[in-house]
Amino acid sequence: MPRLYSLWDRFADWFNRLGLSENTILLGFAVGIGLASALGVVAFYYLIDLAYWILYLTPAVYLTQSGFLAYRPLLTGVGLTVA
Amino acid sequence: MRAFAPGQDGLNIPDVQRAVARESGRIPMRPALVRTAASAVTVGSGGAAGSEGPVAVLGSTIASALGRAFRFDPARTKVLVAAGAAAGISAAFNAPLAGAFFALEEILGSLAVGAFPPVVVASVVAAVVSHSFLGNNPAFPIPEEYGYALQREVLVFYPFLGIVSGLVAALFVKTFFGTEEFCRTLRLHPAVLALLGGALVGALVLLSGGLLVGHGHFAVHLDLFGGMSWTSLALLAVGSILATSITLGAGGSGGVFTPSLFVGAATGGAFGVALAGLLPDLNLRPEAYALVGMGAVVGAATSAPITGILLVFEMTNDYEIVLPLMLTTVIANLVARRIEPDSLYSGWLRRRGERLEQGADRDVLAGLKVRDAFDPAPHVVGSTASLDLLLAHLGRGAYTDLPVVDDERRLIGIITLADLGRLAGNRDTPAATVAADVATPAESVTPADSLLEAIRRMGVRGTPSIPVVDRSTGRLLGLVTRAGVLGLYERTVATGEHRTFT
Repeated sequence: MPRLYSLWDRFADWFNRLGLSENTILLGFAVGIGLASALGVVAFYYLIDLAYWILYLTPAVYLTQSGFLAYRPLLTGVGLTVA
Repeated sequence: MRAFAPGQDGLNIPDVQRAVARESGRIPMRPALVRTAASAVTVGSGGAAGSEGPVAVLGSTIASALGRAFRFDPARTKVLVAAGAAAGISAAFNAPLAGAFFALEEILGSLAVGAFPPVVVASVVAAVVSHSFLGNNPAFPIPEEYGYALQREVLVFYPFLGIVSGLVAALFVKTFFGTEEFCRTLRLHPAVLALLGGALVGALVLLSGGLLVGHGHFAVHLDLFGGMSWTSLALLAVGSILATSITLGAGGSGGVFTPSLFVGAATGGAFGVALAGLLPDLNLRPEAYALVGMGAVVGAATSAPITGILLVFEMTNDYEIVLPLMLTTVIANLVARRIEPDSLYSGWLRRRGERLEQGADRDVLAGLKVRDAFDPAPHVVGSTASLDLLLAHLGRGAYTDLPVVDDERRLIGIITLADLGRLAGNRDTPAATVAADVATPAESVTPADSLLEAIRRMGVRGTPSIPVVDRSTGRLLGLVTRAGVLGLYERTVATGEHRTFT
């Protein structure tokens, strides 16, 4: 691990010595950040849908209507507690 | 959240604002990731919270980590953090323009030209990438048909919608922080509070027929609003305010931006339906009012009117709606700030002892402390100093204000050069006059106060300096002057420690 950090430090030093213009650095990193953020958002939305499927849709299949009426507030309560 | 990131109750958009203004754009990775997961559970289990907070934080955290890894200076890291927030909002709402302006308006606090290109590029790239995974759909499915039939609607009816939206936005802010305060006074165990709060929200959602929350990450279709009565829509707006306030006040995780959109849509819809009922011959379309209300309430509740306008514009892709949207949103923001000075974001920060100022100069001054600028050995006089001794101070010392202290160096007040001049010119002054008789009460600051606060307090009495005291003992520690403040400001700007993009 320390060796990895040392390699990264050398890479960062090398990068900072390149003398790239401010705009080049900002725009280059903006592309990477845009890409990574969008993938993060997609993963986050899938995570929400997964939680919704596990916690809401699946139990709805097995519960009676009255059981589901009682389950819904309980689910949100437990969901908030877990969060 | 508490287990994996103890002590982090926030890490939402206000935290990103604070990180940019106070901590050189440094955002810790672990709490942000934990909060993202907690938000997914909150939203997925039916909590009434938005997804925009976690996604903006996620984007900002990625940018902050990159900035730290490459050892960029704070100014560059801050711009990248803003670009990350823009990318998150852009991808989540399929709204690159709104994402970019949200970052400039809310995160950086200025429409800085230098920051514009990277913020826009990140926003556009994020929108393109999210299209390919999530499709080219707006965050809120909008009605197939809407529109305003008459040009005069813009000037006659929409201003009233602006006033109503402003009132609702202020109600949202007050309810949100009132609920947070109420939850704190209950002194329940966090798990019990979350369980009770969640159950209450679940019951509210049931009562609304599920309309208060969406399905997974999908929001409610606004077409539904056109066929409802105005009372039902008004109840939905109030219900959404309550459900969001309880969800987040009881310990849930998520944002307030999406709920603000929902509250705005319900408010605008209620206004439109009521108006259409009163004036049936005008063939008014409540859906158009719902869309405009959406932009107005989100703009007013978060104090980000440009973002509100652009978000709805991008959702509808309709230039026609821009006219009523701009007017209504601006009026709503003015009305809301008149009633409630805080927005949902600034209120959250203020309640945690933070007051972020907008503007580069103010940022610099807000980031500097009195302890770095004050003179610890100013010229002072004792409270019992005689008139002759006081007049002997005329022309001596570097300052025009003389702090007056008692035997234990506690601040009594201040005597200005003008006071001394008046004493010298007045032959009727009793010979027994001492410094304490002449001193006037003075504003003071502590070493931990910001220079912005010091400048503000100097402005209260129009003095060129202000005493620095130890708040617990009242003892004078020194004097900070406008010249001292400006000197430190210039040195800081010259060394680039607080470089900002303009």
